[in-house]
Amino acid sequence: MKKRLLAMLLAGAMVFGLAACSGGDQGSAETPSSPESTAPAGETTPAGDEAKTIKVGMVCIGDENDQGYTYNFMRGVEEATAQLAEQGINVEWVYKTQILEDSGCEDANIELADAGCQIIINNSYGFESYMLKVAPDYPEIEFISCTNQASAVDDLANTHNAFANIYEGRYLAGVAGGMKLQQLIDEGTITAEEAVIGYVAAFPFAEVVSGYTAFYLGAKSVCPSVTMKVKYVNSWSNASEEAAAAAALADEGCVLISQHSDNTTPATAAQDAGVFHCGYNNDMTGVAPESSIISCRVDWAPYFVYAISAVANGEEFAQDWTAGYADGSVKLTTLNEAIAAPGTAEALEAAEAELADGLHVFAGPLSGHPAQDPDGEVWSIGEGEYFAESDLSQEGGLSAPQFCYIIDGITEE
Amino acid sequence: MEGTSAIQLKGITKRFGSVVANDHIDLDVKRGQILSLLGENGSGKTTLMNMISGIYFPDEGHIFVEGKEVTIRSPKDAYALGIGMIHQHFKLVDVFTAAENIVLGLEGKGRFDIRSAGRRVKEISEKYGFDIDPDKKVYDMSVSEKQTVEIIKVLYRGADILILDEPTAVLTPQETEKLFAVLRNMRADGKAIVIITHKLHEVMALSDQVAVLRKGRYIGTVNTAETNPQALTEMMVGRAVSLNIDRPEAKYKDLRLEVKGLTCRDHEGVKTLDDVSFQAFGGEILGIAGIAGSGQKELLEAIAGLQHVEAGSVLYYPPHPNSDIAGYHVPVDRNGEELVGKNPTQIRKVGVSLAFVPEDRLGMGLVAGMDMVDNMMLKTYREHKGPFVDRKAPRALAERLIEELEIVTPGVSTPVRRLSGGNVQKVLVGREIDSTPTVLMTAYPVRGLDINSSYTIYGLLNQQKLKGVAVILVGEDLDVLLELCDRILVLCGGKVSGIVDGRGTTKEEVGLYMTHVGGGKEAAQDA
Amino acid sequence: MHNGEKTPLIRLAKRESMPAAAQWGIRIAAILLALVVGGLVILISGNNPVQGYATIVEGALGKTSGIRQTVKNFIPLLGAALAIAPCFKMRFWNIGAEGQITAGAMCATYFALFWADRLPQVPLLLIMCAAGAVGGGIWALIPAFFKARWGTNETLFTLMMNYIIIGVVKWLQGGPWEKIPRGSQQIEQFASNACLPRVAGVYCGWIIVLVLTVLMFLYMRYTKHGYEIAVIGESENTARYAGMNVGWIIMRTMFLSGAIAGIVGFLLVSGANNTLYSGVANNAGFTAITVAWLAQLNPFAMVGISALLAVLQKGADTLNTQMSIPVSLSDVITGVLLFFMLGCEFFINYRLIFRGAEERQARKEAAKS
Repeated sequence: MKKRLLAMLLAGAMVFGLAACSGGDQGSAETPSSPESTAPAGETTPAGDEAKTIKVGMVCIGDENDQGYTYNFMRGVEEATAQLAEQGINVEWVYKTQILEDSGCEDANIELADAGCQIIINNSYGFESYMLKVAPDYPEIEFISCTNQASAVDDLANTHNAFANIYEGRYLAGVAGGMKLQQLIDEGTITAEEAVIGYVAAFPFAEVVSGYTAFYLGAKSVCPSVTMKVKYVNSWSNASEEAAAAAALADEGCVLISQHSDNTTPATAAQDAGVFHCGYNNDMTGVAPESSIISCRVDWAPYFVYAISAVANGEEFAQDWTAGYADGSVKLTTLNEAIAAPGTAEALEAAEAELADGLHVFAGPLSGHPAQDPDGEVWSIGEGEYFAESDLSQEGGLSAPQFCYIIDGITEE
Repeated sequence: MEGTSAIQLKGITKRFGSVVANDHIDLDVKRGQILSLLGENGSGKTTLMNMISGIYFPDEGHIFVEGKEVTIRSPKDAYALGIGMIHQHFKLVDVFTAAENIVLGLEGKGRFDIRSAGRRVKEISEKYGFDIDPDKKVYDMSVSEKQTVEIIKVLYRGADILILDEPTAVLTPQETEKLFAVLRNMRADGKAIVIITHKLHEVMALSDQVAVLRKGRYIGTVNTAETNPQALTEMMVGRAVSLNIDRPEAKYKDLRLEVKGLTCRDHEGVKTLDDVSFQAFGGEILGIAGIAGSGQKELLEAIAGLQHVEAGSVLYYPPHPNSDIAGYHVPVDRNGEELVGKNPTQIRKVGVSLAFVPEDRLGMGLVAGMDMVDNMMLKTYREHKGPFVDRKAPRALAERLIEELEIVTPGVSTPVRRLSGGNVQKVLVGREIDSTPTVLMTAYPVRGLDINSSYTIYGLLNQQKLKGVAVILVGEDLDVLLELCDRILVLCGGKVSGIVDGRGTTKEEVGLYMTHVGGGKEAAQDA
Repeated sequence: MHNGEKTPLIRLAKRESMPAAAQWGIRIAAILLALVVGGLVILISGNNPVQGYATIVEGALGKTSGIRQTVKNFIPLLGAALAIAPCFKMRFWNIGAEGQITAGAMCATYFALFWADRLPQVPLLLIMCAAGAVGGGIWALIPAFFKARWGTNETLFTLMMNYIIIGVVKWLQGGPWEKIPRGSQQIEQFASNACLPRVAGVYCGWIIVLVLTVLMFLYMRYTKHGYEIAVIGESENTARYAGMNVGWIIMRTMFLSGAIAGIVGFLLVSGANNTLYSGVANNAGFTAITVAWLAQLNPFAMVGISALLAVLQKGADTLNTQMSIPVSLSDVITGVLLFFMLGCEFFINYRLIFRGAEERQARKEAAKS
């Protein structure tokens, strides 16, 4: 009996231990009542209009502490809440954080639907297939999947996709990076051939490929001799892997690191290696002041304001949505003047103006092979042609990035 | 000093759940005396002594050492009071030497001096007549040597009240004599000694006083000189008991098993049985004697098909056509059927059954947590066709056994763990007998039983023998083997050291065979 | 002992047995105590405990959709507990149910992905189920074989096997089985003929596990196999003496255990998730250990315990959503409840004796008589 009891306690302890371990990745909840994320009720009620309250649920892959992907969403939430309050719309946010891209996401969607949310936002690409399993059961609730593409084309009226033209931001960040490389060449610190960018990438996947290609093209527009090496870490978020990849790229002679992954470790690794860095999602000059030149990010506030106010006013809203730099949905963080090349600010201004004028980032002549298939059929476009990325005005255009070719000048590792 | 009380117990009570193991026990142990604590198994002897040595804590009562009331909460407290206990199961570290084991766990200041410890061990040995090499490793020692180490360990710690729990259970008659000599020396030195035992002749031979316990109660203390075994048995059992064991002659005696050159090794490659040859006859009880671990268990297991046999053969011959058991089993070759190579189920079908009572009684023949019904079908459950078990037949058998063998149990659905030792063994032996074996092998069937139950079991074995069954009995108590068996086979180190006639041999002769292969004969010639 | 100072303050004594009513009394007291402690946790998190518990119950059982989610949680828990029951009865510590579920899920998924276009629903589901059973069974058989052959430690072995198979699925997820376009690290959602139909709003796995419960009860109680398992669990030596082939029985039982776990894996991929991923077992294989022990390996009791845990799981999720209590705190509440439930078995088997209590008791009895 004694033995049995011991075994039971052991089993119990084990289970607790496991529960404790799993607690870490399944996560903790946000406090929606935290002052910065919710507009205090009744603070700003414009005269004449009765205040409406919309309950919005958000399924997050990380949480506000990740200083990257989900943090960027939280900033959008904050901004949108403030703007909507001015329109007389109160937003009550409910979060499910640290949700994995598995059936836990389905549970989170059901949970939020049952909690009375009128809009449910899924912030990660892998959530969509699970969101789509829940959406048919709740036709009165609007489901939004960010960065994905199936909701736009399915036959459900209550599912939506949205993604900003982050490639424009990447292009601009690339301009800032390229300016630095050209400065190094001009000063004789490196030769023209040594202007190599190292890119820490999550997966060989359109959103990522489109992003780094835009970054490369931005750099190339001001530094014609630049080339780029891409290293995949096969994870959206793995701080140590990302740092290791950045350090390895610096070792291989890359003098500028950029990234499409969720952590700030590539920036710190770049600083440790004495090379420069352009970030994503978040201003990384705080963690790497001697290295990080600029970052680009999506500002979700415009979309949130658009979607939530549509629901509040009982209007339809687009099943697929995109907006770019000119619309304020893509932003650059403050340029790190201390280390940026002289004239960067001017170059950025010029590039921004070109984008506003309708400059196509993926403009010919370009050629390359499909990502993940080096022996695949060579893809190319000629002078004057362009690849219409995230262009909803095109037939079959989607907000989600589609450019998935490895163009000349970029090598995958 | 001599004759004064060393330790006194007043009204000591200990309960385990609803069981009262010790019920208001009084005891007085004097200096310079040997007190035998006599009682049947389960009478509470060991529990009582465990309270003195700090292993259990009494629920009620008082303990006085040298006339002063004390509280003994741990073995350490007991040592501090000069109380040392030698348990049945030794607590020694195998890879240490005798001296290292003796000083192990002692708190000392500064560097530990093993050499001076060795000297003191020698002194103690010489003083009381122990025969020990302080530098010998425990794994090289015989059981008797290990016991010596345990005793010295206790003396080394300054004990002058010694408690020995069944010290002779594992010893040969010769070793027992040696131990008794040592104990007498210690008595002469003024130590107070308690030996726990249930062997009457030892009580008579050694002690000055006998305290008797029965079912947890204190019956009384008598001077050994003023009593006799019959009177002590009555105190122990509570009524008059005949101490003679029957040894009837069977009508038919025929060759049943012929074991030739049987050799087995354990998984470390050590020979456990070495060229064992003997014959067993129907209508006969063949006793197997030997010091513990001489290959008794392996021999029975090898015959039952439970041990891998390296060499040799076991031939089985069917019973005499006129015996009661003839015709019960599958007819086999008159010229002998080889059993080696058959699996346990096949061997059992032939009629060779094994009832092994291990040291903890339960665990090999019976499943402690299961009820009688489930235990009845342990070896026969496969015989029913289909994937399901049939509990009807075993239930009937269980009910019959309860009636026939007077098994005391609340019912057939009570786990056998709840049954008392004697009843457990009746269940086990009863089940084996019910399969109408032609060879009944049983090991330690009376282990831990009270006198009455032991006699019931002896009666069952005799009954089988008279039916024409070949009974093979591994026993611990030489006195019983000598009275019960027709022949006694003595094992020593896995070899057959001698086979003697139960009616004509002596304890000393068997004892010599137990320690020396063939040594018995030489010694007999010397004498 | 008069010298009260020296008597140990608390002693433990084994209980002989206890009336069933008293046992249930202790269990109920333990649960009440657990609720009080859990309530303190809710209180510390800044919420009203009563409201907290109400939210748990309402979240899990209040709405149809809540009940469905609870049942969804319940299925793998009960299934995995049933799977490990025969092993534990045999005292073979199979803590690899997690991996066996995953292995079964993987094998079932193979057919869902590559045979769905060739087979109609019923045969496809049957084949997936069989594949799951075989996959889980083989995954369990490996440690059993090593145990039977070389006496390896099954606890470590089965535990390690979990990590291997989870790694394999991770690789499939990001490699050969990844859906197109690549990069999602996800396997395609199954075609509809590879999905288990729903009954009463939840995939029909709940019927399957309830049927398995009855079958497992019959297997353990009335079959020769069940008998052999019980004997080995009590004493391997006895089993050997009874002529049982212990190694063979260990392997057979582990295969069965793994096969049931594999079927649970099939239920999860085909019913609950309609796809495969490395975390498909979602700790059910481990939580099942608690379920099995609390139920004392009785399949019917497992139904109740799994249901309770499923309610807690779902309730904790709702607590997190509605009252913003972090999931980790909800886990603490579940943990407290389990701890008290496991701990109360100790008090059923042992009793504490406080210093002097017995003397008082004795005096009381003396006064009575």
